[in-house]
Amino acid sequence: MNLGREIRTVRIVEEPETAPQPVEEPAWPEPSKEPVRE
Amino acid sequence: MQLDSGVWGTVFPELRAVSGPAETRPVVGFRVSRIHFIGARRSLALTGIGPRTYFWEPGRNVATCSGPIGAFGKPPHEAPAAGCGCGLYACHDIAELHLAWMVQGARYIAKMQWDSRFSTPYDQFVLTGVAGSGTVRIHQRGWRAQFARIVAFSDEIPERASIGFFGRAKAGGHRVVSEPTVQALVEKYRVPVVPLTELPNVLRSAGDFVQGTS
Repeated sequence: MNLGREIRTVRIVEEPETAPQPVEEPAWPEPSKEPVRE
Repeated sequence: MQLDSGVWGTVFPELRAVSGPAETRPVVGFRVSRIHFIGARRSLALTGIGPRTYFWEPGRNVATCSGPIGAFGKPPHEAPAAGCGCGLYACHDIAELHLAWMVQGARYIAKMQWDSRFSTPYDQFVLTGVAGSGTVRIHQRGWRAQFARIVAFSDEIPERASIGFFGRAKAGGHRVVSEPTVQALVEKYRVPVVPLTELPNVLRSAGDFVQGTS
């Protein structure tokens, strides 16, 4: 992608509240807390 | 090695900008993402248009340079570097997307269309609003950032009058992203999918557009 000539550089430190973090989903279902009935 | 910006700033202008106080509002811009459905589970993935690109993940994405690998397998430098093409890209304006992607995008898509193993229906592209932070190199038509995250998508592709990259998109808000794809985008990225006219306003809530580059 051609963005043209570089003009300037800025440093941006994003504040935590403006940078939402991704929702991490568990890789597998949580184990049931209920005792197993046999 | 730390260079004194007062001494070297005339040679490397970026030293002066980076050495100043950091801003807190990210810069925002537009890009066109390519949609992939990968594997038997048809998992959604987004990349750029070119052959050397990133897979964009939900939340913060981190740029790395894919240039020649340095010692111990490390990237040659931190991205985005001066004089390199690395970084996470976006354009300042929707209209500039056409110009910025005209060469690379058209060539790449033409190649893909000739390759019968891949089909390129219009559903495979989505207009994406992103916010960049960290070290951000501002160019005439867009920026390259160290970090970037997806803020929103548009379910419409901007009109292009002549035949070209977006040549088949119709005028008047022609909807080019199917409802199943919209649902997959929302489910994975947890950001809104809005009409084209609303996308700039959504981006303004997340950051600032770069001004004064033309």
